[in-house]
Amino acid sequence: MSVTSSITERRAERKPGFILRSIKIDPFAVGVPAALILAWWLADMTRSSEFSMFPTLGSVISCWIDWIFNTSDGKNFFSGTFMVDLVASMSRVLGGLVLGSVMAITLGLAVLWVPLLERLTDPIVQMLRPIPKTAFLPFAVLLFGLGNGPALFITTYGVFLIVYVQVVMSIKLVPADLRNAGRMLGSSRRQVLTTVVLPAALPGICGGIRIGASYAWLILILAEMLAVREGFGYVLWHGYEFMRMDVVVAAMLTIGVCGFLTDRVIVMLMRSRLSWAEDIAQANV
Amino acid sequence: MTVVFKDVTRRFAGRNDTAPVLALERVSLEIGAGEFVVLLGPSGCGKTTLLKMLGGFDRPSSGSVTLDGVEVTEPSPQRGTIFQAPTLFPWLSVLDNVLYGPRMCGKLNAETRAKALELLRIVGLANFTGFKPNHLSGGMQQRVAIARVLINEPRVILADEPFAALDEYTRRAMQEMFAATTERRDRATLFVTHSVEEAVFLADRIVVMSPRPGRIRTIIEVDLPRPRDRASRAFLDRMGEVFKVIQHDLISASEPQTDAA
Repeated sequence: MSVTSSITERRAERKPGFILRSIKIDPFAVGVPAALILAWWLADMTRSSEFSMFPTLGSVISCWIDWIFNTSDGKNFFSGTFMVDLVASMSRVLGGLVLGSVMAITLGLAVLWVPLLERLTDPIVQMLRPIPKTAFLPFAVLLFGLGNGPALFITTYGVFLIVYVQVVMSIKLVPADLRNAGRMLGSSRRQVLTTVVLPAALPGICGGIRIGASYAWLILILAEMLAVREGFGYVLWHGYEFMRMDVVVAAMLTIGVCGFLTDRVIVMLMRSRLSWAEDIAQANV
Repeated sequence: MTVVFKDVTRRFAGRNDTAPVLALERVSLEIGAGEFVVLLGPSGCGKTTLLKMLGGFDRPSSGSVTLDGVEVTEPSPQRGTIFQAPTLFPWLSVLDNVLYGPRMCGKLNAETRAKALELLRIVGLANFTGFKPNHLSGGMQQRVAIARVLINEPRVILADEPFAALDEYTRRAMQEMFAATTERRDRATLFVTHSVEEAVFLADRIVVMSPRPGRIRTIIEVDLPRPRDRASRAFLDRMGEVFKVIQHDLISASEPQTDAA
């Protein structure tokens, strides 16, 4: 039976190098950036001095090396601070992402539980969404002082708004008969939320969390420009202030790579819970 | 065990420019223990609406639906429904779909596990317990849907055209399996269909409904011995009898209608 063979194929597919394949780094994901870097390097060798605003590949790389290993013996403001910046930015992003997503999912389920709640909160949520998140930064600084507080607040707030919209949409589109099936088999209304609605809406919610993660990086960098003294955003902004475009580009690329890896990790963590949906769609997320 | 529909009327509010629809008008029906009642009628006659009210998914606009004198207000595992589509939980294995009810009712133990496996054996899925629903055919999925309802030992089984989407061969096999596995003297079954043959094959009583507004036209007793032989003279005579009753609705269905009630 074809059914049986497709299952055995899937199992076989999971044996060797399963984790690498779960992270799913496509050869193109390495190849395309590598080609662009090669093009950059070729351009460096042929270009004239009018383009010197844009840093050379070599200067960015030496910048990175100094950032990570302090090869300039503390000459630059960023010498050897990479690990501190990485831990600071990464923990803020993860903190904001987890807090914002949990809040969004909780309110999303609550809204399905008590429809009145949506009528109360939805107009406010929809009004807050178009207001730039960073516009709240001065208030956050006044409220929490300089340091982690405002950065975490703004990130959580931004993630919440973006994930919430997706959560509510996914939850509402769970077919009524699936909920009815849960109820007639013996679930209470509350049990239906956790055992039927949440798993059924998970593919959409995961999409929301992935958007939320890239959004967390975006907002965090803006927050770090103002409110803190370490982190990728701080390094990037100081690079601008000192007109060190090599530092700016090194920071930009670092943020991009971190965002990419964050996304891959989220997908990897969610895969086992979404395999049923992949199966139905006959696709990989 | 008695189910009583008493003067059940269900009015659906019109949407935007359409008039309100009277889906059911003063429908009364009593179903006793061990009885297999089939609701037969064309689409729009309110048969599914009637079933949903006993399921607890909908409430009458007026009148009442009771099980042993207790008004039905919400879904319950005492009244298990088999929907038109299997409506399994696609993220759970076949076995976990069947064990969903016991788990939610706090009865997940060795006994219910054994019972789940036994039910899956009865419906012919003993070798598919670990499969995800998506890997099964429509007919096999509907078997799981039957097993997950039976494990809760419901007092009433509700079925809403459960075999309508299956091919003729699978449908007949499913009807036979359904009649054999769900029948119990202390349990009633309310089964919705628009197939005359299915009605005559399964029913003790066929409740023939007519549309606009939904009403009971007549009730036909089917006292043929079980298991029933679809090719027998008596079976075909009963089908002919039902065809005569529904003749009127065939004619009115060909005329243009308005849903204004």
